[in-house]
Amino acid sequence: MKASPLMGALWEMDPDRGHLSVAPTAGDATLLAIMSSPRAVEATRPTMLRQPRTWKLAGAAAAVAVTVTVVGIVSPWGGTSAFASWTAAPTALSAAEEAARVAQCPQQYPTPEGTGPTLDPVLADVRGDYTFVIFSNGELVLQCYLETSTTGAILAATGEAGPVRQTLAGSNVTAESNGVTTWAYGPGGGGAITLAYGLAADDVTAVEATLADGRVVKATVQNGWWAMWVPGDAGLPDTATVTHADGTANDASIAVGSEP
Amino acid sequence: MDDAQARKRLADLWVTHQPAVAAFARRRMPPDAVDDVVSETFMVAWRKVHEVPSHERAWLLAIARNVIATRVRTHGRWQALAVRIASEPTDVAPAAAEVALDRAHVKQAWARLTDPEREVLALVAWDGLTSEEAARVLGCLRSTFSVRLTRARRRLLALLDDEPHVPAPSSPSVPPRALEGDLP
Repeated sequence: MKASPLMGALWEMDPDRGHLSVAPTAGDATLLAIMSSPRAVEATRPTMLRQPRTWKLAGAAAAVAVTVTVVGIVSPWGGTSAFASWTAAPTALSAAEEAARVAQCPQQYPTPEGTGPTLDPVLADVRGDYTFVIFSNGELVLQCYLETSTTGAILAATGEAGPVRQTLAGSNVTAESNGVTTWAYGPGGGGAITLAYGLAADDVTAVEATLADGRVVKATVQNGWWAMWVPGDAGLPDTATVTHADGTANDASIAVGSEP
Repeated sequence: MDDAQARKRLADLWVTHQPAVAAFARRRMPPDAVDDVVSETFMVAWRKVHEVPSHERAWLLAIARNVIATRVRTHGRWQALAVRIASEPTDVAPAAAEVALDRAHVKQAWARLTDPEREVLALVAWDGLTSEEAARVLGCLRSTFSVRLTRARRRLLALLDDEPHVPAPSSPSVPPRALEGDLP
């Protein structure tokens, strides 16, 4: 790399410049702790799908960390060409087909110690070859992205403690996530997607969002959760139409941080 | 890959690339979060140790970026990772060729860049990645990264031109075209 005044000036602004660290070794405690945890097997695991079950969020008195995080390449620029089979409405699969997809995801909440609990699948959003799965035990949340047209590229999840929104006032939805991530890890990677999901009150039967181009995207609503995603980074709106069991509908915010 | 091979593979990755991952994290996160980012990054690498590609460093930094983005996302920022800048001048004497640029004004111009612009420049100027590696970190095509890098560089130069006390970009000693060619 040829030195230049600009490069030199930028290099001098490097916040890590001059930092002194101890050279890592194969005996470092952090490394050993990581290696003491289970690692993924290489072949598809013939795991049995735990039956999805409806669970209720704990009361406010027990309000502690719900964790919603994912390891996915976050890109503001990703493409959309690889999502040809995506559909604006969830794809209906048989229970067996859906279970087969969900079973390919890791279900143990990952922790550095490798001792995370096994979570139950609570939502599987299927759109063409793509399946987005949420696992939860009511306190922790794990996401899995699965692309089934090739070799089953999985983005596993990890997490950190976050705020809990356990009580849904009236009959509404919350947004635990609404932003751009990328389905780009592994052979089935396809570029940026915009993903939103959250909790839904018991009487919520449908959540729909209208994109800037007029397309209406329908969420999957299962077990008190809702989720939708669209290819690309154009974004989902901050407001969705929520339909209830009695047939009524209202607009609700699906912006992260909004109150239900 | 059996367990012994996996452990050997991860240990090699750790010894070789842990400093780069830690530096990457330090440039983007507060000090108290750096160790967690490094641990989480290698935790993911451990789970995927059987599929480590040949571009190991870029692969690990892409994971680290994801880990950081996850944390950043928790606080409501999604579009690009913000990169920090040195808060204090260092005492390293600048090379003669660098004297032409006023560091303070470069810093001002840097502050006016967008997060995506700063990120592509930082991947190359600070993390020392090639365009191909940086593209892998961002999950985009190399050609796409090159376009973004060129745009970011030109915008930085334009901002420097806007600054009233910046002598370098338009001065004979530092022709803009030379600046445009300095990054891979």
